Amino acid sequence: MGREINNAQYANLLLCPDCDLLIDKVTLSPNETAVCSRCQAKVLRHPKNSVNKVIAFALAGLLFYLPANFLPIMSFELLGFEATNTMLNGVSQLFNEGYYWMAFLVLMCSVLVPLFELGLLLTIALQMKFNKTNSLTTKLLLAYQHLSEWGMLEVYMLGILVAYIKMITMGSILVDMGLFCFVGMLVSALLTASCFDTQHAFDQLEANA
Amino acid sequence: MNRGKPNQLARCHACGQVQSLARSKQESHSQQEASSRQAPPAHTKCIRCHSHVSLRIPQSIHKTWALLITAAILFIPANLYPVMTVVTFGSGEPATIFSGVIQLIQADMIPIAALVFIASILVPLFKLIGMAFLLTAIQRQWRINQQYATVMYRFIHFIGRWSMLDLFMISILVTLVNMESVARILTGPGATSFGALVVVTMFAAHTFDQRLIWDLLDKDNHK
Ligand SMILES: [Zn+2]
Ligand SMILES: [Zn+2]
Repeated sequence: MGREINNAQYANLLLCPDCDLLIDKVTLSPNETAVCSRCQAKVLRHPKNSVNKVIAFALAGLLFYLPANFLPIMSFELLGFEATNTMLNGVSQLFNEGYYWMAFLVLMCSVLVPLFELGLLLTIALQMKFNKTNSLTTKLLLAYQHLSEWGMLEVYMLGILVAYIKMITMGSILVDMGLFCFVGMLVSALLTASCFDTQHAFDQLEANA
Repeated sequence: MNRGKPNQLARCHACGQVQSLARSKQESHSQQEASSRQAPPAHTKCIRCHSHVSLRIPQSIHKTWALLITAAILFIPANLYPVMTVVTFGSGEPATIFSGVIQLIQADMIPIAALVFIASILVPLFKLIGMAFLLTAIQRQWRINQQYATVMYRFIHFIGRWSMLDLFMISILVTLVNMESVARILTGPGATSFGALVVVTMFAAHTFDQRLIWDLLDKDNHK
């Protein structure tokens, strides 16, 4: 219980995550970021209007999610044969070829983790908006914190681009509805993440408790 | 410069809460007291989110070296074995990452060739060499510029994920070029090693504790 006192005692202190410098805690206005004076690491961030924006962008991202995953992204025609690519048939093709590890990796980074990220942020933001936060919120925040590094939609976007350019000279390649939904999902996911800060959310949880 | 470690203050990596580890040292079991005096409790639970909290990532250097050596070994099959095979009218043409780049150059797609070369070959190589340099500098207590070393680590951390480009591209191409007997693109065994390489280097960047770079300054002051 003695550690509770310590908690209050150090509440006005920040530690730089990158260089371990002790910094006095500052109060930030929305949209401000505090930066370490020695190594320029971001030590504190206050996202603007975060909760409402997170809900809006996460909902938009989830709306795009199903069509982005199931609709064809590109189709390729060669000598009268045609084949289409969706995010999920790429995974199942790798699986059928016996490359389970690769199928798992692509499935995680481009399909599952982005879905979890959007779902987690939406749940957390809704809980915070309606003051329904509980011990589950902490667990969700931790899950998001650990997962977020493995969501790689922006890298997948580059993969689509490279594949498209590579195939241009080989046959006729067409972009499909899925690509537009994918871009919509990507932009929504990036905006959601930019409006959210895990540490700020933890601070708010504590302030509300 | 006042820092966390000398004051037994630690930041929770998950929630950012600053907390003292000094008290939990007194609370800790006598077996830890019996061990060397300079070793405070390795970690404890965060008062706010119950994640593990420690002054420095435990065994950071050793874990990072282990992952780095694994990555260096994986780098060999990832580049020697074909990552995909283009089969046209029954005859296959296996392509490694490097020969894929060469094919792109021959097809006059220089920017894409450069992109694939950077993402699939330069980035993993730079990560391996850069992390090995940082680890050696810390172990040998080299006088390095902390600012530059930090920027280098942040760059390594940032670029890691972009190596997945090649794997995503393969997962797209195997379905796009899937015309039975006319043309097919098949995955090659190199892709498995390459995927493992990317994941292992990402873990290596994760277990590395950046604050060790700045700990070198403290050692300088003591001399
Ligand atoms: Zn700093
Ligand atoms: Zn914590």
